[in-house]
Amino acid sequence: MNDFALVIIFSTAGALMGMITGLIPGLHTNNIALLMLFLLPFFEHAALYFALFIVSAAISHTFHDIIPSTFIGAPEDDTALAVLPAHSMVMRGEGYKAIVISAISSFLSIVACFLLLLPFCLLMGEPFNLYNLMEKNMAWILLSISLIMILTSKNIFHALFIFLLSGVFGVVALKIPSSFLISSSPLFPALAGLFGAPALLTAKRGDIPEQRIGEDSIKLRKRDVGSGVLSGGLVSMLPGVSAAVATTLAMAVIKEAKDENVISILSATNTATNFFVLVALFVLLKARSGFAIAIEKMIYLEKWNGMIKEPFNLFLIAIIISAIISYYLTIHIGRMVAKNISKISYPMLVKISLVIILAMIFLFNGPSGLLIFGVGVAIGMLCLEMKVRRSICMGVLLLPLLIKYFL
Amino acid sequence: MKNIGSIMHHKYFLNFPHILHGMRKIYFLMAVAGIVSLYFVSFLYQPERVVLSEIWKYSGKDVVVEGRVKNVAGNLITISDGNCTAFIYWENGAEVEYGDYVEAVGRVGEYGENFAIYAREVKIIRKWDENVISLPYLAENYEKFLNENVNVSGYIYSKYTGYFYLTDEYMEYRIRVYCNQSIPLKKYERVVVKAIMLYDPGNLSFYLKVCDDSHGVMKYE
Repeated sequence: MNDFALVIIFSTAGALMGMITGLIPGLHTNNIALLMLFLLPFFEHAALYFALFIVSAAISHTFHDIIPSTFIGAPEDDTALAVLPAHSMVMRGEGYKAIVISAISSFLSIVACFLLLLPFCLLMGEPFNLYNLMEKNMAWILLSISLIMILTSKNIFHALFIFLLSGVFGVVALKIPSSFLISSSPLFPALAGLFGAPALLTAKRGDIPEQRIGEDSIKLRKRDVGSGVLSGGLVSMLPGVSAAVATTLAMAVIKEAKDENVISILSATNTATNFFVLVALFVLLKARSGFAIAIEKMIYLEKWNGMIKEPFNLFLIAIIISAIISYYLTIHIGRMVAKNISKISYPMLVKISLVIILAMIFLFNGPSGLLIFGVGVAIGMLCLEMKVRRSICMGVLLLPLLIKYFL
Repeated sequence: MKNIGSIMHHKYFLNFPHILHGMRKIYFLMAVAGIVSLYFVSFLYQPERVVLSEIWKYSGKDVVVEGRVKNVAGNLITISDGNCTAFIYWENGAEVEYGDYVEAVGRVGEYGENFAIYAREVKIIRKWDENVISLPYLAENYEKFLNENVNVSGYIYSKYTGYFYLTDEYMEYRIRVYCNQSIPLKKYERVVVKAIMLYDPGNLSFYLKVCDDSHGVMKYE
């Protein structure tokens, strides 16, 4: 078969796989990357196509994971902060609008990433080597993000209190290797507890209103997508820092934002992070995520030298294919869910959502995951009670990172 | 100082429980009780500490290993405990250097035809340049330090262009040190050399090479 046809086939298959991982809370593209690595010895000649499959899935995942976050409040690290605004929109009958905003923002984020690709490569790699400067000052960057988040809160003392409590929770919880039936990290139950369950438990009671399909006008701000892309780009280069920190960084600089803006920023950040993780692999030869590690093991990588040549160009094609397919799939699936969600009563939706989240946690993390989830719920509810901005709960990731870098 | 004073007199500092009332108190107590429980649970999940020669028995399981860094190639670190070597796969491998004594926590898995520890945490227990060793100690334990960074003390015996000889206080041992930097130190002056120890098969001899940013020749303080 023609080589280019194989690129299209594997990119399309990857996009479909990313759809599945995005729609199932707790399932990550890293799990798929591990599976592909396991299969690789049986298909050695297909290493490049496997790598394209993984990249395509990673991009597609960032489009689709907004759907479970919006409708059942089951977040992942990169969508945790979007749960509350997205769920509020569902309760206003704007769930579909939330999905469309997310899909458009993710797609525009890909466009912006392509426009910024060359300047970004020049800044991070030769000749400017901004990456080295950032890596050396990582601890101070993280401290600044944390301080901005706390000091721009309405009540600094409450915010500091929640930040420290979430942070101590993170320090303890992230030490527990809680993989159960499927390899995973304790981050999923922690974030589902901090962000997902409180959003479900405290949303306005009553029936879920019928979701308006295609009636609302959608206006996106360029700066929302732009700040998301920049945050994603910066954070994707740094060791030990996940997309969640990128979303926190993007949110830290915005004091007042409507639900729509928050979703737009976070979706753009989320997609840009995975895009630039791939770029970092070629520009810096650094694997910054599980899927990048898998690609690094699959194919020989040559450092970017100012020319976009094979296989880098094939990866960029895979990203374009994945983004186009994912955009339409996300909107289509979002419309389908939005049409039917109002047929379920809200108490029933909460019960179904909590059962799904608990089942996923048990499947991925076992009994210790349930304990982590419970503690996360208590802190998440305390955060809402104290009227503290939700992003402060990202102390769960930031404090352990600060301790790691400073001590 | 005035600001700090006013913060310290803020009602929340004077009356901390004030912010925790009603449901807040319940959630707070639940959170604290949960964190304490998780802390104890984390002890149950402590991975077993194993020697490098036995990691193959723990495939798929979490382990803790320790050893001296023999090589760093990208994300792959090779460590040795004196009897055996093992690979550690770690994303932030750039932080460790040849000769560091490290502890790694992670899962044992296959790496090509070998086993490797896919680390989620690598702690540097002792940096290679933390302890200064004497030249006689280096000579008597050369297997431990070969192809590693060393931090060795001695006296300058003689100086030439591009290299000098280092000797001990009784002039019993002598080793050539390749160094392109100009050394503003005199003959018989006591120095500390941070360099990599290598073997020259052509001359059947060991030598030290100053070739990295962390290397150098300094006056012994």
